[in-house]
Amino acid sequence: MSVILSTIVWSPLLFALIALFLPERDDDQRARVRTVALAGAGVSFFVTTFFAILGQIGLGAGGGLASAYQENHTWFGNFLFQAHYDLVADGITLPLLVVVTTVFGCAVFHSWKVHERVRLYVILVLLLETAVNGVLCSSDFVLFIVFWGLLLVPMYLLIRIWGGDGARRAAAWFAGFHALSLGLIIATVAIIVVEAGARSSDMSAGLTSYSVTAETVGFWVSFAGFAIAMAIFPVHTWMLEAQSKASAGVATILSGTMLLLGAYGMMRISLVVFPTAAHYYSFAITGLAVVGAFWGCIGALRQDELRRFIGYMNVAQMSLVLLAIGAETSVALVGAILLLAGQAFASAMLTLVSGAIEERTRTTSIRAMGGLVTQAPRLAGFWLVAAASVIGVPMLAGFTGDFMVFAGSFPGHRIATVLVMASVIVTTGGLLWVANRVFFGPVRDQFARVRDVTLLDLTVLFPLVAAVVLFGVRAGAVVPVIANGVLEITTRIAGG
Amino acid sequence: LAIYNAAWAVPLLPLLGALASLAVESQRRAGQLCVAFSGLSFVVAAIVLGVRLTHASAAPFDSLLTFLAMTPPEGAVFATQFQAQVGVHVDALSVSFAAAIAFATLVIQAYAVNAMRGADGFRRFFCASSVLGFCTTGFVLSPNLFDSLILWVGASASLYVLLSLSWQRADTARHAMRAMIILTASDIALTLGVVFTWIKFGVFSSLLPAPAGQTIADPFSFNVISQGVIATLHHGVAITGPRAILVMGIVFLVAAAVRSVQFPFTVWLADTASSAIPVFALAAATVAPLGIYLVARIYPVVAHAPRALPVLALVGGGSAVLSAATGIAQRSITRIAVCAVASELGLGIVALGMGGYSPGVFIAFTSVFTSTLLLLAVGNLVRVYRTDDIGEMGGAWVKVRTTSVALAVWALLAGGMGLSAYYALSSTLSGVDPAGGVFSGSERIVVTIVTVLAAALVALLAGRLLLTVTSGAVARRRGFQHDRVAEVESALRRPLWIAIVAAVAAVLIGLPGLEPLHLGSGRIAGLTFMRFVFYGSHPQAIGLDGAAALLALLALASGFVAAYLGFGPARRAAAVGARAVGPLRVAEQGFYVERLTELASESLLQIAERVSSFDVQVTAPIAASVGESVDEAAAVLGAFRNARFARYLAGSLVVVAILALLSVLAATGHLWVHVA
Repeated sequence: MSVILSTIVWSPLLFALIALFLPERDDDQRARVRTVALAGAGVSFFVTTFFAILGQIGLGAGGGLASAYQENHTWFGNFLFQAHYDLVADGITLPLLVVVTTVFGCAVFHSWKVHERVRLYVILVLLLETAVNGVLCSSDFVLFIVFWGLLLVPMYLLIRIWGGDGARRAAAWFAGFHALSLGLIIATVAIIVVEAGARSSDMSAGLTSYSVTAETVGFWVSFAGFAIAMAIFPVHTWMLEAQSKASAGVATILSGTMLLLGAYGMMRISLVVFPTAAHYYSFAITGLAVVGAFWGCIGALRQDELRRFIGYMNVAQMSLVLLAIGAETSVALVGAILLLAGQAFASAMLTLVSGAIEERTRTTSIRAMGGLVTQAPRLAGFWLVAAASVIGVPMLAGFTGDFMVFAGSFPGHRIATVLVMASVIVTTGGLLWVANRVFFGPVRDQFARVRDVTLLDLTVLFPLVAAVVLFGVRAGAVVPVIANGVLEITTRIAGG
Repeated sequence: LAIYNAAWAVPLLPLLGALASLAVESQRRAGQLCVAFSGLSFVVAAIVLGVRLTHASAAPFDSLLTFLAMTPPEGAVFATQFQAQVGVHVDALSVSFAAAIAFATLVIQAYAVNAMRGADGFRRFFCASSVLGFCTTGFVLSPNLFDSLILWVGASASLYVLLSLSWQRADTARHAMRAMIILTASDIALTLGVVFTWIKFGVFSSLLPAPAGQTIADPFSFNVISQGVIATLHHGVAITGPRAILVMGIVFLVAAAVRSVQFPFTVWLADTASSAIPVFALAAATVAPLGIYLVARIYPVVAHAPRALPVLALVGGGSAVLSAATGIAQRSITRIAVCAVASELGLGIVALGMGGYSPGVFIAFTSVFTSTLLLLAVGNLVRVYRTDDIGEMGGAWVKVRTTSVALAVWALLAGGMGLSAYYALSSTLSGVDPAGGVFSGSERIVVTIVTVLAAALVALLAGRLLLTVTSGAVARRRGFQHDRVAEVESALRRPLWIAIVAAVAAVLIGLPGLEPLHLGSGRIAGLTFMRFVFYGSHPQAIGLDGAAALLALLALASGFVAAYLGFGPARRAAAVGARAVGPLRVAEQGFYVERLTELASESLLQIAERVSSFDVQVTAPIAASVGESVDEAAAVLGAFRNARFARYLAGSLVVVAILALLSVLAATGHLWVHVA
């Protein structure tokens, strides 16, 4: 019996339990706690990357791709329907698992910068990783809801306890919106079970007929639930607040993994379970994507807080993913997964770099910064690499995703695609303008002693750069794997 | 021919040079290493070109690697295969340009080794310029639109890095940003064109037989696109018609117009002028001609798009006139150089637009050499006079002889002897529509008038620059020792001599009416450019066109005479000091294009302000109302904000974990109770 997926999901929690019993009275003990946490995140990353995804790529190279990792056991059947402990990792899940475990690994490394309540911090991060991995692997609605709910408390506490000024408000906004999202997802599952008369909460079961009303309501309820998590316009405000007020490590997890889960859920549930409504309302979805893309990139131009700026850029990036979801073609959806990976890495890098800048300059105001490149050229380099990935520079993670999203969306939604493409010009302008104001220009006296990246910064940022380059250069290796996963969605949309 | 595989080395060698330069400790060594790799790249390009010249009639050679491939299940909708490949394509057009661009990169880098000594970002310049060399040579050798797109966008990004060399100067950073934004517009236009082409010809390509060694016909390949256009016009392609070809043509032309600095997109090249001269030279000589190269590559689309060609010719002609007029009113030598490059490329567009494929390509090809020559000369002059204001120069013929000779050669070539005006006029007067139709009389008359005007203005621009800089005596100004003006060091003169010889040679191989050279039994057709690079299956019949030659000579003479009368030794002092009035004032301001870009960015910022305030006033209060309820609930937890809180949390965590573990074990039958 394969336990690969259980290992990926539960190993962070196991190490969190170990960390729970470790003391943290002095620096050595705190370092030990962090090391244990790193081991937990590392196991998850190692198993995901070296067993799961490479195995799938190998299968693809060998000409077969049907296999996906699965662990399915009946959980309980005492209610109206059966629920299963059903973990599946197919072509969509596996690359995203690589992304989230990489980001969590970097976030745990970043915990070396946390000096207060270290044990609680790493435990919450590991608990969050279990929840995120669980959401990605769940193939059962009940299990999905359990993991989705599990995201709430750790993230709330992470934002609130380690955040800066206004963190309490930001945490409350996050919790409120996430609870709303959870409620909407539970309502979606209720609609599925009641209306489709399903006897099982298995997500892969052939859920056949809904009334038009149930399909429409179910689609929009699930869409709203996941749209909140994706932080697309107009439900993006919680993310801007959380992104700017949380500590850099927590904001990295937020922008690198939480938004991705919303998009994943939308593909996995809204599109697959309600294909007719999804197709019928695709025009509205792409319209929302256009508004969101411009809202994000134009709104970013007027931000003075560096991380709020990144938040707006996230809104623009997620709108590109939404365009692909609205387009519903396999090429666009494969592009969306690649784009999610690129967005997660780039956004995590931008957040970490902005955290490092704030730490050195003691300000979050873009206006107050300037000329940092002379003192911190490597930091500027990391920012530019991440920005280049967001813009879609070739051989970086964003390029292939952007191209496939545009290619796949164009046949069905020409005007929307062209408009979203045009928004990339504004995004480019915004990212470079901020680079100009923060890094370029004459050196300011107050920043004359700012230091460049430390070894710890390099340790945190380098894996993300490597991932951005790898996903850019070897996109062709993962595309067949993702395409295989997307096949299920497109088959359902086509009525299969 | 297996030797064509060596074409891979042309783009890859500069890239290797860039990587190797990072490993060298000394900055100067790093620069020299990049020059060496660029030199090797040029040698390989020259060898491949030589082989191709001796096998000019052979079929093009492709070597491909699959970047990504998938089979979309919705095959009937747009394509049965989504396959993107990268590689090299060896034909007359690609190898000619690869050699030209590799040469320009080499000469400019060799010049920069000394010109940029002690400048900001010396190592970064060589690293980024080698990456730019990889992108530009890779672009011209690319076998399909996907590969072209990658390298086109890559060129924009590496140019941005080059432009940001002096990043402590706020104005340089601002110019770099604006150039990048404008180039991104061309990137997006090309992306749209590539996507649109794939959508339209994806299904069609799957019906074509796969080339040898390939599983399918590459839907992005130029050959497939060409076949698709022809088939479309014979109603052989589903979901595609003449309108689709027109849209495709327009999108590609927008991308090309931005890249080849057609008016009003001259702004991006003007922005590069604020950077170091070698950066400006690379942008002008190796990046700007890529726009015309793109038009040449997708010429079947442009040629068969209804009414696209005359519009293209008018855009090119209008751009050449406006750019040259702008240049005449400028005092900054770098601005004048920008306008000269833009107007020369405009004439290339005119030729392509009037059906002169080989002439248009030839103009772009020679512009690589003439731009290199001009920019190196400009670099030397700015270095010697420590200003870019031509009003503060003068007397260069006596004091700065080699550079003056270079400037004179350039002025003659750009003014008309370089055949740009001749070939633009020849194409216009012959007016052979490659799609088989004919241009209307009014189209030809209008384009001819515009072209003659453009040619005269370019000659005036070149003459004015030459006379103002070289004649008279060195202008005196405060803090400048005019008597110490002297020619630059020999290390900076050598690249200039090479550039002079190359520019003249490049023009000579395109002389009209030149017969193929016979070497023993061999017949080297390539020594006449028009017989080597052509559209369709046969070269265009290009003989000496007397009318075109007369008009070009008249334009050249009138331009130079006007320049002599206006800016010659007698009028020089008054002319350079005079304030522009009337239409010249408008031209001096570059027809207010830069002001318009500033207005556009100001408007965008105003919209951004509204978006931001909408978020603050509307969406944030809604979010706050959602958050307040959580905040109130959290306030209850405030009681636990002490040491007990952590213990409660830890206890809950343990309980949750144990319950989860027990559930999993029970569900999987590993516990004595089975819950299912």
